[in-house]
Amino acid sequence: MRRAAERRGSAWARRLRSADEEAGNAWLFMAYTLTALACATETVAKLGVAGGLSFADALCAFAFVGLLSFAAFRPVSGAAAALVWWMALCVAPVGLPSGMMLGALLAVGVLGYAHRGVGAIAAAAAVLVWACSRGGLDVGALLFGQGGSSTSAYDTATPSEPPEPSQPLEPSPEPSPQPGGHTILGAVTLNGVVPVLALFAGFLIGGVAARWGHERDRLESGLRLRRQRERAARDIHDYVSNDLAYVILRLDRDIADGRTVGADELRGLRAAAAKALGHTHEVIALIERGDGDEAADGDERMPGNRPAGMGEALRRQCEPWESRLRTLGFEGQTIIVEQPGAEIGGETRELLDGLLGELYANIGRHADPAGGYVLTVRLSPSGVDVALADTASARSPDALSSGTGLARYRTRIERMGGSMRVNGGEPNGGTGGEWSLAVTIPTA
Amino acid sequence: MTMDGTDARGAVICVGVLDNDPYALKMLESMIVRLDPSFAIAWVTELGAVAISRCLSPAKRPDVLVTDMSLRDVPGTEVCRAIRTKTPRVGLVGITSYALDAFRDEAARCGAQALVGKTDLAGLALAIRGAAAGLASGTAFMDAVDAHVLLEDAALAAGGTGARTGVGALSAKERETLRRYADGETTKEIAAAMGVGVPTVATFERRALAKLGARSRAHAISICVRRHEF
Repeated sequence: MRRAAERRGSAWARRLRSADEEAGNAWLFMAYTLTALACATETVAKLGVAGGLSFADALCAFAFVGLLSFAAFRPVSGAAAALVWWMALCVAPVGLPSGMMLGALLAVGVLGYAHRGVGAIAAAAAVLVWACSRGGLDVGALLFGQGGSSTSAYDTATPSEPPEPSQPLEPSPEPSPQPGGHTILGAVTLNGVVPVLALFAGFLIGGVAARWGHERDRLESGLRLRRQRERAARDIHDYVSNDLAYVILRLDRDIADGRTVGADELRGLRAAAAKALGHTHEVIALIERGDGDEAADGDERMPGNRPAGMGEALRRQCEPWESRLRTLGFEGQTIIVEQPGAEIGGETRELLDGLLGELYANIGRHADPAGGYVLTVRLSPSGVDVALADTASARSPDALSSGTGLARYRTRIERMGGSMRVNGGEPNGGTGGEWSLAVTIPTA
Repeated sequence: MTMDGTDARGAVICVGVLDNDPYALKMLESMIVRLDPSFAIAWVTELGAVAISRCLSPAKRPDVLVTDMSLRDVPGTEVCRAIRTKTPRVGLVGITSYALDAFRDEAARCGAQALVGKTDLAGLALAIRGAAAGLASGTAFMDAVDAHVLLEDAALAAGGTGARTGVGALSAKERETLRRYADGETTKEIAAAMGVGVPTVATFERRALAKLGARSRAHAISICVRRHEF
């Protein structure tokens, strides 16, 4: 029994703790501290003055100040404690510095931020307690109908105001027993229950609204983060993993050859590894830079983006990939044809860029060097056609690929209204291991 | 002339067919086997890349490739060039539903042995039979072996110019032709030795002279001697 209670207790403490961490921020810290300071100042100023606070009153008020200071560090638990203490003091026959109501209002706002329901209950309780004890509301009148003694009194400034329709808890407002109303810090005078009610409701709504705004911000930044992460994953896949797969394949070949590795080979491997490192740095920079604008980044990844001479630019771009495959023992062909009037948009260009890199890397990973490869690209006014034929390797080193590369491109291509068809690929299947791919990307 | 063995006379001629249109492909497939009992369809495909890949694969290579010239993914001429640069062993027959003149010269340059209209069935049968033996149909076209030597040599020269001195660099075949002339061989002897036709040897010589800026064969040889080309 006790253990269960302890567990429940610790669960509550944990929830409070996490609520504290969620709500804590510099502005709230400042607000609490200022309120505590105002209360303390007012208490000290009124101490011993005729009609002011007694020593016992001041002690109670300083306890409240202490709770507010605690709340500056633990916003939610401090707010709850301060509010409970304030309500207790309201009921108790002690004099209170007027600034304490500010602290109570702040506490209600914070509780509203932490939990809407708890905040609303706290606000209702605070108003009710205050109204019954200090606000001059007669509970007897509330419970047993009108005609209580308190209606005989005052309220010179404000005529009776209509009750808040949204707050059925609240009876028709009763005037304040004190002539001149409740004055906070000597600056704001409140007459009757309604302004107090409105203040509490306002702080509550403010807290809830702040929470709502924060939630929205968090959702937005979460979305941004996810996009950025997807992009980073894509870049890591497109560049880094392809580079590394190439290095591994070359090492495999060297091991299989069994001869001593020459300086040229080492230099080639070093260059490939250095490129992988460079790409890793680029991806890290991208992740660190956060949501850098994608368009600028896209441009910088594809030099020579002029519509004219794009076939030539593409050919130049394919050369390093081809020579990579040559070093892996692939005798292949790349045929790039640019038709007059071919115009490729930036997005298509970027897609094509990545797709070609992916295809070349796939050849290295999955194709049999003896079977060679044929890659054709045609740029025409109606769009881009890419086709690839190679022979699937009997030993397909699956460790070098997670198999998500082409699927990702298929999704992107289909989103742009294009298509990707893949045929064959079984080393011992009916096609004799022939693997072919046909991609069509229409002009947007 | 080296010919691709047994299929030249009487034996089965394996044909590969390339056309982007699946219906046209089906029609061509059924039409070609009806043209001649010795014709057999090895495979059909809609992709130029696949056709090139298969023609270069020793296991799947057909005797003749029949290709549409107006392909979607890659022009028929480029398919022909890619295959012919690598091998003389596949006869190339272009077909088109457009005017033949539009493609003829380019198809010839790219190493095709014939170009026929899609509706010219008799012409197609003749062209396939000729191409299976590596022979050209029509004066504009070259035999498969000659076309291969020319294209291969041009490809090597194009690939080499970057690394070597540029315009003046001779290809291996051009250098060999001049060297054989310098050794006193006749054009016929050179053609036989290099396994190409006489016109091909003449082409090598013409290109070599142009590259060296020479005014005659003797001039070209003397330039080569001075440059230690031999």
